[in-house]
Amino acid sequence: MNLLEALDIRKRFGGVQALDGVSISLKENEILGLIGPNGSGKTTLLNIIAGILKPDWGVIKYKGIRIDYLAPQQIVSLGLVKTNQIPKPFNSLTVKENIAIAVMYGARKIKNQKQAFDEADRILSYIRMENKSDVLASHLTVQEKKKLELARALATGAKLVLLDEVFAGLNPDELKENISIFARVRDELNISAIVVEHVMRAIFSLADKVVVLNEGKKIAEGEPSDIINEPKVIEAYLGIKYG
Amino acid sequence: MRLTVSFYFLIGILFYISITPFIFSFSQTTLILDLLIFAALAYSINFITGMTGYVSFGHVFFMAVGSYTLVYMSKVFNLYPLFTIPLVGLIGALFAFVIGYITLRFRGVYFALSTLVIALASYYIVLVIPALGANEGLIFNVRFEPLIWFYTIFSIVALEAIITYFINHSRTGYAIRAIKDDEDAAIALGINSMRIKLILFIISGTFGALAGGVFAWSTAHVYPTEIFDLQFSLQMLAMILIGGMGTVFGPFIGAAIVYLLTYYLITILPNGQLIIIGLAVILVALFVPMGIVGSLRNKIKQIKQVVE
Repeated sequence: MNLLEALDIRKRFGGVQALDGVSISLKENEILGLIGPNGSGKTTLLNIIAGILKPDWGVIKYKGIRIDYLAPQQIVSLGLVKTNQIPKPFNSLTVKENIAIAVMYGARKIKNQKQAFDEADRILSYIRMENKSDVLASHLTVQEKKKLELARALATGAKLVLLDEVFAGLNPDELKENISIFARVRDELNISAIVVEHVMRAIFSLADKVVVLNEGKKIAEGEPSDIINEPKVIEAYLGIKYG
Repeated sequence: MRLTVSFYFLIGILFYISITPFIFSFSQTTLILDLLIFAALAYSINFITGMTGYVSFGHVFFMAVGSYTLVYMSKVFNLYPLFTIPLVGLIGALFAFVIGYITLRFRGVYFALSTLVIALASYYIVLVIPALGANEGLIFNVRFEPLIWFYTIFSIVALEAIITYFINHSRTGYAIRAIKDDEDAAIALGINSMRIKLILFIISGTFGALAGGVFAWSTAHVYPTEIFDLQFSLQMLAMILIGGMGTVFGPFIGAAIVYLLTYYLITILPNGQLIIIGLAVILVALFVPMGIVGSLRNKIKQIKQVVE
């Protein structure tokens, strides 16, 4: 059974057809890369899956349950969480408190505060930010904020995370570190993900399958190595042959 | 939940206030009574505006609801005012539920304006209701019982402060701070922000009505122009801004400062008290943006880190 199934999703903003009948599916423990030029509807699709936007048309099933009419906080409770393209940390709280909130709510809803903070410590060590534990989130660098965004998503205990450009804007070393952290976490916590990314290196090192969007339509789907040779994809997005 | 030092400090202060009628002179006690009414209003608005950052500009509405309920019930059914207090709270809660259910869907300036509109509109509605005395308001006979007024409003303030403490130190307290910082991110982490905001708004409305009720009881009247005066709304906001938004001690300190300023300036500079309070708010916003208590708390944290 597919973990996530989105069928014929359509969404219009005023005169723009942001999504025009896109279908995607995802198996358990699979990572789907979602690529496409700016304005092709990638973020819109993630927002619709996470319940932040409502689709005009289409059905979304997560673990066989229809989620397209649920509120975002209900969808998180089922174990599906999305990170933000621009990190949205709780600035007046410390890094640890940020993560603890995700543990106390999210999909796990741990009531005991001490237990939640212990779990937050564990996640901090996962992402190697123990030394930033008591720093206010507003004092973090962009790279650290992106890591925190990822950590918070993992802390919810979600089984499916939607990553919206968590790897963008990093230097090669940071990128390498974040990719390796994510790959390790993915295997240890047994999670699935949809990764929206412009950084091809992240897509090719993580994704099992790639879907390419262009102007709200799916133009290609397949293994990363096949996708880069697809003429339509090269034309729409890559411009030149990658690698 | 482990109680912190600040909880025992709070209990100590409350105990001290509870014995002030036996320490100070009679006239001083009535001043403290007025101060406690201000503090009750400050704590009331603190639940919604201080904690979530949703600025309620028309909070005077709840005060009016409480005043009218207490006076009307006491007058028409000839009840002893103290016995109407539970009903006053209930009516306040009911109004808060209905209003909050609609207005809390708006954010930022839209929420602030919608509460302001409700306060203004209800003033004009009251003016045409004969049962509520229309534009003349209601007067009723009360016995002069300053001690009973004092302990009623004291209990309300004590309850508000203790509830504030427990909310701030609970799991929900973290969710509330998350909502204040970034509501969308909070929702995306599974926090049911609408429910939390609505509960806080109901608590806020209930206590606002209770404070208004005691105010009307101690003055033996309710006049629409006085009770719907937006100056009260502004003063309530000034109190929590000066004292520290969302904190346990902030509303009380803010209320004391605003009350003392109002009390002393009214003789020296009639009608000038708002200018001075406005000036105080600007100074606080410039130099101690977290309010007095918020800034003190940060200083203590910094000192602790240095010492460690």
